[in-house]
Amino acid sequence: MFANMFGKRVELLSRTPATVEQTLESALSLFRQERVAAIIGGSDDNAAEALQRAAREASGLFLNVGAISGRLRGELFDRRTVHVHPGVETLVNAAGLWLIEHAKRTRWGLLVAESAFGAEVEASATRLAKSRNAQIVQRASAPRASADWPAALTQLREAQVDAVLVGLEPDPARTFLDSWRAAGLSSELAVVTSDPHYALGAESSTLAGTWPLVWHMSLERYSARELNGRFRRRFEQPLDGAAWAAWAAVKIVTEAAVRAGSLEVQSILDFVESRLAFDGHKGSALSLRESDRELGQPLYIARPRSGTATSNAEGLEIVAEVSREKLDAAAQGRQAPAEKRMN
Amino acid sequence: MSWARAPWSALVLGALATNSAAQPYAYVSNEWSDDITVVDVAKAKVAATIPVGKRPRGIALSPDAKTLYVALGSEDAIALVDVSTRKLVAKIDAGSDPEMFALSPDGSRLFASNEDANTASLVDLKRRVVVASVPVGIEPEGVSVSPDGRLVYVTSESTHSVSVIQTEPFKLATSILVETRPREVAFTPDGSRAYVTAEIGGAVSVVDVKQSKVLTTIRIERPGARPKGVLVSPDGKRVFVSTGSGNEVVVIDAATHQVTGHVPVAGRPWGLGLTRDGRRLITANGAAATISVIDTETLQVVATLPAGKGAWGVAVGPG
Repeated sequence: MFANMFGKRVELLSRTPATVEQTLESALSLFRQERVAAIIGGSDDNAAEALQRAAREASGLFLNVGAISGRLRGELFDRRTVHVHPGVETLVNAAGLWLIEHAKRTRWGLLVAESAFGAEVEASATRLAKSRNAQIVQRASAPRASADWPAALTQLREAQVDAVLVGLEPDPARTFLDSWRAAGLSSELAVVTSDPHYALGAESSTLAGTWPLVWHMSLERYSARELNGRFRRRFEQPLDGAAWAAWAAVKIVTEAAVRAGSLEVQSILDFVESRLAFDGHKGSALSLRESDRELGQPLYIARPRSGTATSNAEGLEIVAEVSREKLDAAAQGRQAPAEKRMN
Repeated sequence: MSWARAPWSALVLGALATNSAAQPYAYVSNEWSDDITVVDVAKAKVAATIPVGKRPRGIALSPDAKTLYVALGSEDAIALVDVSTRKLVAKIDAGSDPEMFALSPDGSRLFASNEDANTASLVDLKRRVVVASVPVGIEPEGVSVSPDGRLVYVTSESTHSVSVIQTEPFKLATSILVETRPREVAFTPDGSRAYVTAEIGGAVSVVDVKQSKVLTTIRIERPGARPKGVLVSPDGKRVFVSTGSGNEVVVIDAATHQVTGHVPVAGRPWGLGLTRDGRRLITANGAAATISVIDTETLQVVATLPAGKGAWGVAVGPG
């Protein structure tokens, strides 16, 4: 609608390839045969790498709306990629800053997967802790079998940590949460994962912890209420972080095309790099962070709320916002202005 | 005229003069307490509170100042309040989720923005029915009618646009791209320009009405400024803009387009109202549930009064 109002026509083509190879092939076809200017996608890191490669080879643009790996933002840094969804380091920084500055918890235990993802969470947490005078006093690895969670939790309890920062993929995160509640630790728990809505699951036993989120269905300020309402009415489900990122990506490209007056790739790229002041219903203009090509934005900290809910995701409430300024500064290892509480 | 009659005549003329400059009242909609705060501006005191209905936001007086209209977003209606009795007398249909509205110069029609329907509706106030709707952008909000009544401007927050609607017949003429998240719009008294505030863009777009295009953009480079409400002084020389969480009203010179003054106003000023003589500016401060009265000559807040929860919009007229 936005483009139509100003005499521009923007068409959305949809593809759902089943494998990484098909993802690359499909993306190249879209760029070369269909002559699309931008591809929006990246449900996981492998798919995102394929899309990034296609954009580079075909001189198109890729807007990543789901993959969180630092590899995409560092080793595979590419000017033709814009990360609308924040990455591991940004999510860890949001959770960590909240633990330190709001919850006043600085003796951390770390529980991470033995994977590239886990290593990245650990590296980000270590950097942040060092820069903010927090300590990682105990590190535990995610067990191979879920039955071993109690052993890992015992390690953390014995270390008398006052917060546990967890970096797990969604499936193990869900089984971990079951064990966490049963273990009865008094520490704060912060969870970083690629799909928080899935990780939270549906059982009340997994509704625990503090979650850094891109978006939540309960947001109301800055017309978030209206955006949430429109999405739910149209799709009959709540707007979550991945969906918000996809919505934002479509709107960014459309807005760039309308304001720059062109759907040429270079024109859109120039606009996004130098003139983007995007309204993501987060109360401030969002723009590109040059260092890692992420969309600089505030994130939200969510915790379980009291009362009934139809899902665990709905059972969370936003307790704080971590400002873009704070996150940008943490990314560069600097201090920044105090973040604000939601109330 | 004989000496015997002259003093009486003078008294009558004096009385008429007083009535035509009747003390102004400000009417402030309170979004979350579902009522209107009535303020005696001259005495700087709250005169009454009027319950009206759910989620009142846009507010305006009829040209004859006898009826107060209030948009009730959660009731899909416009409330009508009798100004003399200060009582709710009717609620009329204005399409879905009306947020703001404006009246035609003769008071016979009302143009409303329908926030969740992405439309603007025309209401015949005599018959009290919606007679037409046109599609506008996403999340329409601000509505203003040109002084000659020929055009209605409707801002749409999510499509960063102003829809230009002809009133006769009621149809969309064109759309103007403005800065990010436009909120409100105000015409100059001569109708040649319109000012559009952009909350996320931190700016005010100056529109050439004849050409339906942006003439220039005024950046409001004040700390935390999120431009929201906008009014033009009766003499057309100044433009007042509320900056929301920037906690200020800024003053723009309409000739130079420079910011020439600013008034600190605590509590997130949004809605603005101006007395007819232009000497008092009233702000609705939603975060603090207060109303501020500003002397527009000295640019000082002369009174801060309690309002209801979520003080939102302001209409000013004789009581």
